[in-house]
Amino acid sequence: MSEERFREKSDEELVRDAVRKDEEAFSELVRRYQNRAVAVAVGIVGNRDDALDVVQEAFLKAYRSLRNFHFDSKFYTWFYRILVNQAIDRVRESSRRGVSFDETWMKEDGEAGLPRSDYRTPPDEAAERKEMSAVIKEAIESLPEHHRTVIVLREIEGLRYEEIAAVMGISIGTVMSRLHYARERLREKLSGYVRGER
Amino acid sequence: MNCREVREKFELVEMGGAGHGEAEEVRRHLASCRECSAYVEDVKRTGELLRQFVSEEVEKVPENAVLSRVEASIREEREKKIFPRFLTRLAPVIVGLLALAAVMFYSSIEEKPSRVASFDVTVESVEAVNATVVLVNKGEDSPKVIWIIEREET
Ligand SMILES: [Zn+2]
Repeated sequence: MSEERFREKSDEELVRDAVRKDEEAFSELVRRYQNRAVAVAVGIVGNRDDALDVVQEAFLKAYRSLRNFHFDSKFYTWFYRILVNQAIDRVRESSRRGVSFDETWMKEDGEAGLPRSDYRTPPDEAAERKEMSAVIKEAIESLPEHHRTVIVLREIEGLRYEEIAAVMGISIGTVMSRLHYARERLREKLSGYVRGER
Repeated sequence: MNCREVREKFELVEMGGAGHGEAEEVRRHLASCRECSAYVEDVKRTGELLRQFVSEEVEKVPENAVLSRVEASIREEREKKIFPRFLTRLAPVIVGLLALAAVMFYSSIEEKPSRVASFDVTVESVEAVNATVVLVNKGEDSPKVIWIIEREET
């Protein structure tokens, strides 16, 4: 539960408090962004175990370098930059080790059986959903890391183009062309699942 | 405006980020180009699929899992830091003790009587009945005169 004294505070005020060694202020920042951060990380790395590691490491890095936050940008822009860099590093590391996005998914699923939410859905529907998830994962995996990141920040996090540009340190024009490339690629990979006319 | 430009810009238009003239041009193109309007539909559907996939994964993460992990690692890091800080504060004391130990060690060496392993005896001069005899310790790195005898009788 978020503490009463923090409710009215902006992210930037919390950063100031955290720099003054108010540990609870930093915890409040984690509370505010943890779910969104996990969503972004899942979108980039493709599974929740790696995503949790990535998010934990990103918050820890942010905590260590809070003094380097100069208040000339929003806290989340600064934090998301740390987060996506951490996620991109993880993707590269996995591909160097030869672990594919899909292997981790299959392994995870084979061990854990059906995901919790699937117990409540009819078997056909659950199997269909699982197959669908695998297809989506494969489609995302086919994108280079930076294209993956742009589409995740747009579609999952809902950032505006200028925010994506600030997080990734690129121009709005580059955001637009990367988004277009990623969308064309995903559209092609998911052609059996999207409605539009071919 | 060609199809590629329209596909890159349609969303900016929707978000209100394009200029009036440009927005109008994109709208007109989409109204007349079936491929581009299908593309826009597909993009929306793809976005929905991505969000659905991610939210299914996120739902399986226990509440505040990240918070507990982050708090635990911050605590761990702080504990690791305590030890070096403790050592830093003790550094002058440690240096002092080491210096004292060094002084004691060297002074004990100096006080130790040197043992003569072997020596040379040389007769330096003989004048009438007087002789000067010199004992030189050969056991040291550099020869050291340890005794000079100047007696009539010996
Ligand atoms: Zn067109």
